[in-house]
Amino acid sequence: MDALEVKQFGFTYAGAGEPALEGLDLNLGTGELALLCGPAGCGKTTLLRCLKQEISPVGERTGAISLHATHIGYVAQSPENQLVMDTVRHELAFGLENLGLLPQVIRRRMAETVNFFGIGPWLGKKVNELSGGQKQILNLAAVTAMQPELLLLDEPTAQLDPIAAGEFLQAVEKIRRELGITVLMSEHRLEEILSGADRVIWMEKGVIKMQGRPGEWAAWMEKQPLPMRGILPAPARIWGRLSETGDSETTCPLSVAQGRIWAAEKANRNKTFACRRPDSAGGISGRDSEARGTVLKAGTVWFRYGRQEDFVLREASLEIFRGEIHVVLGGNGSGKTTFLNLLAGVRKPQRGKIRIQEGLRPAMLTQNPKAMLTADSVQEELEELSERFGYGEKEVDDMLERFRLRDVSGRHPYDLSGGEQQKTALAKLLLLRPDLLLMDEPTKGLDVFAKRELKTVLEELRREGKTVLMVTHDLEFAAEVADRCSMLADGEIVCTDQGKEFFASNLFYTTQTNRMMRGFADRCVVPEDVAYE
Amino acid sequence: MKKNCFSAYHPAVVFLYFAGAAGLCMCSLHPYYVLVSYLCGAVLLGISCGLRRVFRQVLATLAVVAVTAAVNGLTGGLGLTVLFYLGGTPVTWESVFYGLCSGGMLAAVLQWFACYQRIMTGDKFLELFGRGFPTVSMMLSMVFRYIPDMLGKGREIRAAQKALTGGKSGGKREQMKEGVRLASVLMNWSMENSMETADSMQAREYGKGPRSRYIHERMSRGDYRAALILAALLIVSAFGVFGKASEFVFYPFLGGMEAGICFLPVYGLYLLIPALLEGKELIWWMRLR
Repeated sequence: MDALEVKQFGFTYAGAGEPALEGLDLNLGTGELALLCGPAGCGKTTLLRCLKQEISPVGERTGAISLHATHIGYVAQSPENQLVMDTVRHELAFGLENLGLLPQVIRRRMAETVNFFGIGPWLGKKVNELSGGQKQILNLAAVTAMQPELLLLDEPTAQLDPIAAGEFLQAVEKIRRELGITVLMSEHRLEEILSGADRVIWMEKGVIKMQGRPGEWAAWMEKQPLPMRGILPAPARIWGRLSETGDSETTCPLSVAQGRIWAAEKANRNKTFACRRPDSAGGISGRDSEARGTVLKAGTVWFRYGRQEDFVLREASLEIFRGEIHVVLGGNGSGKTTFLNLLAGVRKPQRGKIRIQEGLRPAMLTQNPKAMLTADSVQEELEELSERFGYGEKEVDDMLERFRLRDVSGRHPYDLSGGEQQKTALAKLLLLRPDLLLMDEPTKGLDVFAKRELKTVLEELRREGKTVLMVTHDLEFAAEVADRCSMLADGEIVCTDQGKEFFASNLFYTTQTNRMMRGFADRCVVPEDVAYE
Repeated sequence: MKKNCFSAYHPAVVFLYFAGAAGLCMCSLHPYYVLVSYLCGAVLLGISCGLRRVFRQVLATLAVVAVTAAVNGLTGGLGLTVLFYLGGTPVTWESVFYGLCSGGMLAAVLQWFACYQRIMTGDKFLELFGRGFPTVSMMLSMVFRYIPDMLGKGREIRAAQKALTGGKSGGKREQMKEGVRLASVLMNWSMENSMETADSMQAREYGKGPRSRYIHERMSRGDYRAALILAALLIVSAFGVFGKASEFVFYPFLGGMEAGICFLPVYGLYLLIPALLEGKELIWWMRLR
């Protein structure tokens, strides 16, 4: 029996002229794991919320939805905002209390849930002490404890770092595999989950454009124009570039492991891979950048948050040259954000010196753009500091044009998408004409389209001669934009290298392309590098 | 935080103990009772917070004792054993002693509250008294999540604003404006977030039917036993405090010092129960090694 049947479903928000969803046909079998993908604003969230009666939006519906599930679980994007209670225990009990279960039943269900998700070690904690990844697992656990037959997940990993996202997706797969719960999940981070999914549903502008098995979908997607295609994991994109007539669609590799099998087969058939790196457009080579001079130099910086605490940074040194895009990479808790805050002057190091070139104006884009947005509309947001920093209407106008924000200039910043919010914050920042731009995790929560726009902006900034320093987890993005990369680990900068070289000389901490092509064409870092000899 | 074996008991037991200890302490000015209460309180404080804390507490409370003794000695005027004359008014031993005792009592009460705060934490209190008020205790739980969250966001916004301008702050007027703006952003932001929280509550069937209440702590047999022992000791000590020790008088001469002295060991035992439990545990672990 199907868990969910959607027939010719359409939805129009109250007061909106255009329908948000139109003519959707969708069947989900029991125990299926289906991914819902598509560009921002294509109606993924609307569809998911329409399926969950308690939070379904107000508007006009056509067609029919029949659900064969008595209870449906729903997990949204933000790890923090979904939490209701103060402690992990109370949070887990919250949903079960709402069901009116007896205390001993709640006790039993909680024990089972804790066991299933491995929450035990932090069961006694307050929710504010948890990491983002733990919070999101707690949200998932709290919902799963209520025994749903269908789980709806709305971009649950968008706010998580790659490691935490991986753990979350593993938990989702475990739920599907061991409990047989049907899962419908909207997601844009596909590397981890795609090969484990049963189906991909691709939506555009409120319509389902394509649905099929992951391999079929990837092969179809590969034929779409570039910004869309970017959503595919690197192995599928390499396959798309290099597959020949006669390769059937089922062979499209979805993970690094599958990619290597495919590459090995090609190699057996006397194909030799090579690395064809197009001249990095506008990029700067090593000697060039040094000649431009140093704009910022941090020498053996030590920092900790309190007298009793451990040092977060120990001997961290970094030199940034004028006009480069410098990316600092590092895992969780490696001190990336702390380091950036020191460089931005938000905090002071306890030992060591940070020298910024005389007269240079630094500015920082924080991880959460909401923290920077203080006005009631985008327009006001950009005008806010005009008096203090001496810019006028014309500059604001140019900025709206440049970031394509004119259409939304009257809207409240909170009503924008994550990508638009970030563009607004960035525009606000650039109006202050900084020479050195510091960015903290700029790709967090962005989909491929927004990432692509960010990449364009960064390249423009480089052409204008601005210096950019960003810290990020996002290896794939770093590989595309960086002139130089540094790795921060255990409180110090372990190595600094030219952008692509950095990834080619790492073993595990590198892009998917590099991991997949290792042994075939070692220097490849992004899918575009890979070619036949 | 050091885990205390007494704090592992059910909140009702812990609360009973502290209510009894602080209550009896407040009601007795008999010097021996005050002394016992003070010393036992110090022992418990040492067990739960460490020696450094006891040292600080003792210094602070000695000051309290000294002040009350001085004030009472200079203004009391009752009593017949004159120590000396100060500007014509007699300072009597009885009134100084009264000051010492009441100051000591105050100091001991303060000490008991310090212990209470450490052992009977907020969530234990809620667990115990939230039972009758499920809605209130749920709201409190939500507030406890909300406040640190809000403070964190406030810090984040301030750091973002500072980073935006490269650490430069404007003049007085700018700073004022910035403070107002920070507050409004914080309001906006948390309003926005609470909408998502409301969705999450609704998605988990909040408000659909009557709620039940999950109770984490249950009274076990050991809890009942402990409660019984404590209650028995408490009744005997209360008899000592109210029935016997109150025969002690300060004025005109100190009298009845030996009143209620036979109840003192029981009182001490009651107050030392957490320390004894801790000691028992310590011996157990040492033998294991």
